Amino acid sequence: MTNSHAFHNQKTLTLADEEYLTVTEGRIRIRIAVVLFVIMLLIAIIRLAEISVFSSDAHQSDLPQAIKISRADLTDRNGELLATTLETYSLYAEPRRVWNPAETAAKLTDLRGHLNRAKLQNKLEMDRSFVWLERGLTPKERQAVFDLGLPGLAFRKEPKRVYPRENLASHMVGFTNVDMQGVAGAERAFDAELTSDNAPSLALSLDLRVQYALTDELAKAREKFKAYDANGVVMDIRTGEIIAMASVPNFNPNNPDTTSPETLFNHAAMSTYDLGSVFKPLTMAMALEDNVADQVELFEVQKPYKVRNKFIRDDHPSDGPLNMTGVLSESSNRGTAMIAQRIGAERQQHHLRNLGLLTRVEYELAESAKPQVQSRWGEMTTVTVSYGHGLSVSPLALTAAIGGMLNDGIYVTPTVRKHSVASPENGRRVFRSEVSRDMVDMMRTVVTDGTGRKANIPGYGVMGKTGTAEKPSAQGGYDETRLVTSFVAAFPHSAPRYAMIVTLDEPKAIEGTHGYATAGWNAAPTAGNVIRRIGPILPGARDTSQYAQVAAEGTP
Amino acid sequence: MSVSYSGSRRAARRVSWFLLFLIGVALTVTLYFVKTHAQSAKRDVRVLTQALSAEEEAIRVLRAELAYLENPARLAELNEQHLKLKSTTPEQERDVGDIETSFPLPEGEAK
Repeated sequence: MTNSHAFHNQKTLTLADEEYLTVTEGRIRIRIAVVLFVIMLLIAIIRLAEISVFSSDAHQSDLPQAIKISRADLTDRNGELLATTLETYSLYAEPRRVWNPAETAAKLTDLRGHLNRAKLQNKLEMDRSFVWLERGLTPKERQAVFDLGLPGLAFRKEPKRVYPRENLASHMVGFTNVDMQGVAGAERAFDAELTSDNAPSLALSLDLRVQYALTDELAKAREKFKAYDANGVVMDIRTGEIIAMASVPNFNPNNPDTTSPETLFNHAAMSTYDLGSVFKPLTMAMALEDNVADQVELFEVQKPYKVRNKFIRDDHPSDGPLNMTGVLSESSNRGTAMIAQRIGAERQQHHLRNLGLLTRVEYELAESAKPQVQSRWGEMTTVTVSYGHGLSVSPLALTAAIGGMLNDGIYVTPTVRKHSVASPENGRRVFRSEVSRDMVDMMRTVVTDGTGRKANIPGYGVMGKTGTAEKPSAQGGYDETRLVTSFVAAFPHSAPRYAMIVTLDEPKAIEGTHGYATAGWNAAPTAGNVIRRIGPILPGARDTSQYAQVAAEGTP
Repeated sequence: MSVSYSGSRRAARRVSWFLLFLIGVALTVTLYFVKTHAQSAKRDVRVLTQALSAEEEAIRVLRAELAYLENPARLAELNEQHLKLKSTTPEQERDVGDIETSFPLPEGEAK
């Protein structure tokens, strides 16, 4: 007990070292602070490293976007704008967020008169998250809708194809659908080229000034002669470039859906006609090429002429025999039939094929009609085709063929793309040079002394040929009261460079035409009016034969 | 001796690690600032590109408006209303070779 008591009574004396305690505590705090600091520093470093090294993709949207034009412009050969792409606003609705569909539809239709209120309300009441209301609004129209302050309506920026020239050259330029895909004309033909990345603007072969003159004169002629439609082509026969191609009536490519389907039809390239006597120069050239006739021989056209028991009729019978030039300028069917029989069916088809008249015109546009060729090509077909019946071709195809005949005998495939120089790979020889020169003179005679006198515009050495064809009748044969009249022309006589055609579908006789509705009274003067307007514009159109002759005489 | 040698080596290694750590930190910070600067430069480029794009769009609109206003049919109508100018006719044209015959010099004047 004593020991135990003594043990319990022992006192332990601990001397407190205050300084040591303070230092120890301080060290601990410092260590904690250092550890915390290092942790913070490490976090900062790791985060910096993450942002600097590993986060490059996170800011991809900050990269500048290349300026991308979704569809390149179309221009004419002089850089005049034909089609461009502008940003427009498309109005859409989120029906679930529309408060009052009836009120929204009412306010919208008050502002946008052409929208149907019932349809609009129906759309707004749909159980959908998105519905288009109207596309292609201008900034002003967008602002007007915006000012209505209707909830649930919003806009999306969209590119839209715009055609500032409206109806002018609409058939050649074509148009796109709402998704900006080319569906007609050059828009369709060059769709891939126009939509490639950063594509430059594309220059077409047409000259807007010539296009306007042609379209304007065709519209006047159509109205004056009460024709169903009128169409024409102007072509540079050296390069094959189509300088102008028009079909009236035409349409506004900004609103192709609102136009009647007939106006969308480019009759110059898509319609085929029995074009009549405009084929005769080709028959003469074939005969000269094959040496089966010459310009001296006289043809007995004053007498009735029968082929396969059918009389060949002349509208203006001659009193006496005619040579080849006379046959052409008097437009004698009998004389042409006699010459065609010498050429024969096989050679005739060979020449027609060479001239591109038995196949569709192989140019860039899809709008190109296949000719209507008779399945059986007998002697009668050879005769009728020689003066433009029994073979239906497009006016464009005939223009290219006549151009080939007059272009030193070299046929150049038509093109709607601008070419600065003639490209030889597009051309092929169809007639000898001498034949071409003879035809140049013979076609000039038609205008100076024959049926094409109303197209004889001074200074341009116009060559040409009229053609009046009866349309096929529903009962078989031909209908004398329904005509297609054409005038195919070329100029200048000294150095042929331009070929053109004017075609009127069912023109009527009017006061001043003495009861006639033939090409010499309507198509020829229309072509003359066109040449009168485009001659001063076109380079190389002026006839210089007189001065060329003077220069040749003056040359030692 | 060997104790003091290993102690100084450890100290040198510590200093090296510390220096490397500092260099790493410095590089990371520099890289951070460079990237931040590059990003702000890219942002500036993007703003400029957008402005350029807006200008180009405005130019396209103006070109389209100009083309619309220059429509030959519209100009012809305006001409008919206000000016009544006529197109040049072939009869008004002369070739250089025509000048002498069309506009002869008065008699007595030397050619």
